[in-house]
Amino acid sequence: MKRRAIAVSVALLCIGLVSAGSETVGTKPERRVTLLIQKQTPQSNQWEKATVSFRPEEIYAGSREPHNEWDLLYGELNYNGDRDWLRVNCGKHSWSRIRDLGELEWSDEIKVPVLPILPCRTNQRCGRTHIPPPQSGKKIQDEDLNPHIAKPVVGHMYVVHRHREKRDSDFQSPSALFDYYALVRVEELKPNESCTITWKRISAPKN
Amino acid sequence: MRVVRSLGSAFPRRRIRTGKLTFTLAALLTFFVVTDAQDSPALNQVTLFSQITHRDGSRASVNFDSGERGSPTADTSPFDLIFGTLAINDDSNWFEVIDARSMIIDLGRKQWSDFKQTPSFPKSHKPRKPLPLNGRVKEIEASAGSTEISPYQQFVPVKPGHIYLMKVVRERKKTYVMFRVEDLISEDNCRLSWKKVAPPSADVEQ
Repeated sequence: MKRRAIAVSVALLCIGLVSAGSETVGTKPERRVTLLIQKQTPQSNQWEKATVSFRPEEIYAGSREPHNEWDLLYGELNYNGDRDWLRVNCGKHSWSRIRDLGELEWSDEIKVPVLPILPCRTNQRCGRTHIPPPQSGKKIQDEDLNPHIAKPVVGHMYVVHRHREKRDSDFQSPSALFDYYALVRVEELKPNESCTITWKRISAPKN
Repeated sequence: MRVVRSLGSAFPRRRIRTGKLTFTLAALLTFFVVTDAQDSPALNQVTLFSQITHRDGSRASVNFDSGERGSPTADTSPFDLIFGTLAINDDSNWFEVIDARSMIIDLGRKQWSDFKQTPSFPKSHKPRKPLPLNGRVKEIEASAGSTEISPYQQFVPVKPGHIYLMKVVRERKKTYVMFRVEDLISEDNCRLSWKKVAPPSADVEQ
């Protein structure tokens, strides 16, 4: 009896913690954009058509930030002929994450989970793509392998936590440029060609 | 009559000597051929067809024990090297090792006669980091401007006329293979000549 009470208490505590780690966002998207597969031509690599930035224009425009920074990239990886991947900016100084929340509409009550930023493993550079062996049953988009990569599925909603280290020159810039959340929904997907998304910046969910 | 007899006796003797000489020469020749074959085994050939282009893995990979081609999608893959699985900047002329513990390096534009023995894998300036996640996962750094696409030498670009050295790991076995890209039809197929080689001296010492 005592054990059962302890088990129930632990379960309730867990539910409480999970609830506390989520935030309900009743919202509509801010923007809609179609991202195109990056194609190399002698003139251009069409980089700007494959990427989108979620940063607020009004702050971004007035900052001394380099204006080529991006948050989400479609179609960078081509493995076994599959180019349909979403990748958040993750590298030496950016540790960003993306998670597939499943099929959701903007009108749904969306529970946004907290995505703690994962520092790079010791001696490992962030942002590399890990490819699992076929017999492992794992997939490239598995969060424990590649927390910065997701598979675009029409109708699915994704949460992005973008984080970038401040440079020395950034000390006066608002933190909104360095750490923020966004929701992304995949509206259309033409395989290996284009991916249309709607997106909205959201406030960081509270722990 | 004597002349005839002597001729008659001399002829078979000379015949025997010629026979012995031929046998000795043949034996020596065989010896040299066998010795040479041990030093540089005959080259095998295989043509691999790009998995991305042909959307068919049945001719994309090779087993360096048997020379067979096939698709490395089975539970326990018997293949060692695959062509055309990865594309970087719209270029899918890449080799990929099947087992993440294998490694492959490009030795440059060479002829077979340029190598008298197995060269060593170049030593990195930085200490080599352990393979991630128990060494079963491959890693690529495909972001723009990256100079090190495959930090663990699991992928390498395919270049015609280049010779490659590969450490082939399959299950608990480790062997070494050198191969040359004899022909490349870009994004479609490549013909390799290859042979198993002795381990590089640096690897024997380890």
